[in-house]
Amino acid sequence: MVSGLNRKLFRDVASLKYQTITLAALIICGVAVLVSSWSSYESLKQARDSYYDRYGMGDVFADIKRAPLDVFRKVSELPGLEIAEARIIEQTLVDVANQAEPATGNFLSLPDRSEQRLNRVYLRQGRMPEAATTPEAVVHEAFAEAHKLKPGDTVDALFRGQKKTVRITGIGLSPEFVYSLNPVVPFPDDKHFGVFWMPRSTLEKLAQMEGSFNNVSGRLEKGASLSDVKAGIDRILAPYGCRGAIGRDRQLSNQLVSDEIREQRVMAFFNPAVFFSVAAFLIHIVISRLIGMHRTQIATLKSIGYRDGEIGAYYAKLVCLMLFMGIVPGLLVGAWLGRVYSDIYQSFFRFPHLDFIVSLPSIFIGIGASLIPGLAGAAHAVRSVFKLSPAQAMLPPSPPPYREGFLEKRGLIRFLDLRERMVVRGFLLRPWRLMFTILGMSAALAIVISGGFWVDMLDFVIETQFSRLNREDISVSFLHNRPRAALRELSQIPGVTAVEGYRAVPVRVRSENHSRESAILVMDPLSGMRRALDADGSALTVPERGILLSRYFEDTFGLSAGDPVELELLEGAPRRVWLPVSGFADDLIGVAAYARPEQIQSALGESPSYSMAALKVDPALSQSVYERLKTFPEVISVNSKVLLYEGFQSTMAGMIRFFTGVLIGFAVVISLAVIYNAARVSFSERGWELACLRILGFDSGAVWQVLFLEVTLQVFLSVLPGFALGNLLSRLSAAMIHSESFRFPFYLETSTYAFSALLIAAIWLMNGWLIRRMVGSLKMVEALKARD
Amino acid sequence: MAAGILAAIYFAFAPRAVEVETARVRRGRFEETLKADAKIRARKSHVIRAVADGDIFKRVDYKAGDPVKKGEGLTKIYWGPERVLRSPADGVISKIYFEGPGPIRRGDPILEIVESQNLEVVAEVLTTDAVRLKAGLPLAVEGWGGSGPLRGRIVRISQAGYTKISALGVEEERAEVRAELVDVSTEALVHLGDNYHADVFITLSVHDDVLSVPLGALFKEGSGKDGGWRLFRVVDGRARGTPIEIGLRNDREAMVTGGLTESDTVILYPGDLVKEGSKVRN
Repeated sequence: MVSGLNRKLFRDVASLKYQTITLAALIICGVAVLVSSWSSYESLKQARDSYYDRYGMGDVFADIKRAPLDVFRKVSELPGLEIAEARIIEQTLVDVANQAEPATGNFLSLPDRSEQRLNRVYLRQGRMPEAATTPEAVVHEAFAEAHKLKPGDTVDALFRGQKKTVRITGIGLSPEFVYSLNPVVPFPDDKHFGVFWMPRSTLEKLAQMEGSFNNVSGRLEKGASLSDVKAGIDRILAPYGCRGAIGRDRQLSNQLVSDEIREQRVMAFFNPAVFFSVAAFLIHIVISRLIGMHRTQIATLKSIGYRDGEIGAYYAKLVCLMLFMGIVPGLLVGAWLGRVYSDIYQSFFRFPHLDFIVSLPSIFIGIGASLIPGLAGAAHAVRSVFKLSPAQAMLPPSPPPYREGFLEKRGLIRFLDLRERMVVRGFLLRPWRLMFTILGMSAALAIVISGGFWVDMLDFVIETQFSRLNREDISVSFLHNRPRAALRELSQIPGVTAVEGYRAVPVRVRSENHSRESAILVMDPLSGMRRALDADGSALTVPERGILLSRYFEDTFGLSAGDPVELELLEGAPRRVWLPVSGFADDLIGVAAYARPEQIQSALGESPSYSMAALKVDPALSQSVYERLKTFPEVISVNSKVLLYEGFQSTMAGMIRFFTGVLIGFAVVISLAVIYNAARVSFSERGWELACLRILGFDSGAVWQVLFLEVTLQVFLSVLPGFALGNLLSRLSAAMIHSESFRFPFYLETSTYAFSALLIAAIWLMNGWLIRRMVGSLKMVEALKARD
Repeated sequence: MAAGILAAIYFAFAPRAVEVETARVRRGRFEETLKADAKIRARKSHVIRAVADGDIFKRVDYKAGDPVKKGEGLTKIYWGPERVLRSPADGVISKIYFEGPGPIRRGDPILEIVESQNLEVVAEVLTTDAVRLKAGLPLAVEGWGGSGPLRGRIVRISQAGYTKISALGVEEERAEVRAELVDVSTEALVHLGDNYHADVFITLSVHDDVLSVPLGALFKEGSGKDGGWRLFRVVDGRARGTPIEIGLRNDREAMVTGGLTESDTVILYPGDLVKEGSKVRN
């Protein structure tokens, strides 16, 4: 008996091969997205946590101007601080042999005698530096890879105006620089920013910091309060130009790594949730209808003497077999894709190892989310057949009773021909089924749109950042604030066509109980290269009286235009200014404030000076401009927008486009599966009616028209809800992924809607062709037996 | 129906108008200027010295900045006879070398007086720029704190250059350029003094009735050395790349010698979204 059912099992699966394939495709997508994103989220989190733990990532950091080492003893004795380390961090201009434009180098001191206990260097290659005649240093892997540096190579660095040749002794990593990022540039740029570690004895001479330090990091004791320790450090170091201690949460690299992990967690939850709600819905419908069509077989089996339990178990087996054909490849694809993702991450996030782990919970969730709706659908269908007596069930299901719908009542029906009537009546008699089909199709459309949203948003961010916000060719930062004469000097370099000066003043913005560190960009009203923008991308005027703030302050501080805000200037002696807020700028990256020179200079009590300059450069002469800029001791970093843009396009943008491409690919598969299955099920269910049509004298073209018309109407009806759902989904993902360092704007191009609609249209046409083949293979006699 | 769908597709995919900032080509006076850091200086200063070895019994009762009149008695020196030292000119005390009371040697300085109403402008110009200057060129003095520029004229270009560390930390060769102030209102003069800060804009040449465009509109075609200057004009709402010839440049504008007409509107800081023929809007 059982072997008979088993034979039937394989025969059934073979006869349902198209449904099995589309279902499998659907499940592969859902499971793969779930497993890959969840696993890469867990791998990333695991890599970060173990790295931080093993290499002593600091809990608290503070930058100061300069303080004698005696002062550090007071810091290290602070209650709540388990370990503290004083360091020198010196920013320099680095000249690498193969590159015309200079790079920025951050040199960090290593303790001379004791072991490094916090933010320890993981040595990938070579050895640690020692005191030697030629200064030695370990270089960060990201910079070393970008310039193909090996131990033994040398680079030139400008320390306080003096050029020194530095020998690379090793290549290293540190938990502090998982994301190696220049603090003044919002995107990673490994070619132009590098971290170096040097013995204290060497660096203190080069940086003229003998017996002093300018950075502290510390680890908290268990249970100690971060804010107490921060306040303690601020109290001790405030006279030495401390701009406020920061917790790990504000540490640049950690902030970005944690944001990425948080985003990945949102994606690991959000995308699979969307995919699976569509997939679960489809699995349920497809399975329940498939089994619904088996009603005569079920009835026959029952009449032969099979018990309900046996038949139920048989269908459970059938459904599991069909589903596992998707689940197993889905798991494999997911694991593979997750590995690809983590390889991509490896090139951004510098961990000693990023061991890819396939997340077990995601596997269980994936299997459960596929099996449960499938089995539930099967159970529902099988039970409804069991309720009938075998004799009744052996007959084909009677079509729903004819009712006079509003079409007939209003006489509208006469405008439609026979085929149209069949379709419209079918819809009106089974409105729920129509609604679910439309819901499925619009969900597929929505997934395509929400995938396209990422590309649109990325383009918007790139356009805003590179052509609306920063319109210079090169930006130059100065070691000290420079008078206006410096701008004149820059403008005299051959090849420089225009120069504008800006001043960034570090500031703590306060209002009531809120406070946040930021920087005021002091800009002349006549300057045009750097601007503050509103959400539409149009420029905001910096007010004559008052200050422009990032939108963040409106949202978080609850400020509105006209409110006074307290600005604590963190440069030189601490000073406080109250200025009215004149408006809010929609900054995408970080938070900032904008003010005119008069407002800030009088508070600082100094004549106009600049911390950076924006340059327009004749591209033909840019190489010689770089060469010239390298000779100025007061120039500490040079950033080229074009090079940054190219770097961004080849790295970050590539990564986001890849992730999005995968999502869109999956969305296409889903929409194909939805539409094809809808047509397929409708064909099987109506096999009897359609065969009747043939017998009545309609040719196979006419039968095809009925089915195709039905699909067309369904597709047509789902376009608008699909657009709306896609918009909603995009807004939701933008809101969920929003972080403090990155503000994700909601931005959808009309062309994305159109693209998704065209994609659906292409799938619809392809389906038309598939249905045509199906109809061609319809055998009248077989269909009328209604056994399929 | 099909046409409608095609039109919808076209509009959905047609490139959006790029938002740009524009400026009009300006016809009028173009001044080729040279900007330099300068100081306002008293033309003359006088050091009051002890006329003989002697004593000053009374404290020299002045502070730096105190005004003095010509002929005003400043202090008395005794070396047997007594001599009143008088101010040789109207001005202000700029330095006090000897406060007294106490003995003093012949020739030692006691006070310095600058003629604060007899002012000139001294600019420190790079020697490479100085060779383009000549006496008599007009200049505008700005950034002195008061409203509106003061006018001046170059009197002498020093041929004794010297080396100075620049604002960006490199050595530069400079020469002093002295200029007199022309038609200065007494109100302005009252507020100015010796060693006051100023920026000067020396007018190298003036061209009347010429076209000029903001520098922000210009870019180079390609990256070759021979690539010419270009900009985007706005013609019927579309960007049109236009090769232009430019003559002189100052720190904000360039003089156009060919390729543009007065009625043209040009795009400022064109980003890479602006391409030949792309739709633009303000």
